[in-house]
Amino acid sequence: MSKYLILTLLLAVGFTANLNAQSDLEINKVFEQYGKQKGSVLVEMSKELLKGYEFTYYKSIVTTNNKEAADFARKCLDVDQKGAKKVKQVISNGILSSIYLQLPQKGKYFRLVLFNETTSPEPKMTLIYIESEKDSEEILQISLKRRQEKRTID
Amino acid sequence: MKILKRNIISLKEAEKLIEKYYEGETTVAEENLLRKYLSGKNVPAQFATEKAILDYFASEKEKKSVRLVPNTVKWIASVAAAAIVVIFLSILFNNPSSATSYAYVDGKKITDKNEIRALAQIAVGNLVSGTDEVEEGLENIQLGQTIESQLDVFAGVEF
Repeated sequence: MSKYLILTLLLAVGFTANLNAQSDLEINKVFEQYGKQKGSVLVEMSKELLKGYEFTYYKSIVTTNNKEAADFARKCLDVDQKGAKKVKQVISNGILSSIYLQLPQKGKYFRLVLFNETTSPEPKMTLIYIESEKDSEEILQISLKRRQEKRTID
Repeated sequence: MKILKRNIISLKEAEKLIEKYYEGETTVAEENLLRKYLSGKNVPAQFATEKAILDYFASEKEKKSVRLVPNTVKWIASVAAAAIVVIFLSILFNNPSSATSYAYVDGKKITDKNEIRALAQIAVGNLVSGTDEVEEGLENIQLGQTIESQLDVFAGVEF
């Protein structure tokens, strides 16, 4: 009996682990592999820290002087951009240096992946994953309103 | 074989079967016959021990068959428990608000909210400054604006 219970629980845990909205993405491997390395800055913010903003989840990684991480991120983005809307892309000397991806909506969450690599003053790769409950148009309106408010204050 | 067909045994046949039983040579059918004989009325007192043994095994067998129901209930309960775990964990994993906020700098964990926000701001800042060169060409793309506007939420407003 207990073996059925254990098996069911293992299946349950395995199933639910897969439900994490960003865990189905290849870029998740970048966070996992390089996030805790020397020269890396990994940030994860959940809703309670994003109060007042239009995001419900935020995760980013910044690596410095780590070509391997940048190349690996590019490989992962190659996979993740299938089925995603490519909003912005910059290719420098045949190498992807910047890309914004609007991923297919997962549940009620709109998902974005933002990647950028700069070479000066030092090689730096930035990869950001964002989730939002609001659609792009709504976010745009809110953001523009904020912009106007900020300008008025300035 | 004859006694099996008759389905009834005499005292002598019962004695023989009991002997066979103790030697472990009886078949299931013979044991059933013996049990039937011993469970009948007017069983000689000399078979009291054998009657007790067979009654004991019969009652154990009944107990096992009765336990099938609780086992089924247990199985259903375990599945229900697993379902509850699935629902609970799916809520936990699917709800970003339940996730923790943290940062790692050079492998060192940071939990201070202000520091975490500052680090996020730096990351977004990297992205915004890095895309200045292509910003002009994308002015008219609504989605591009959307993303930029989203970034403004971080870059334009202080955490």
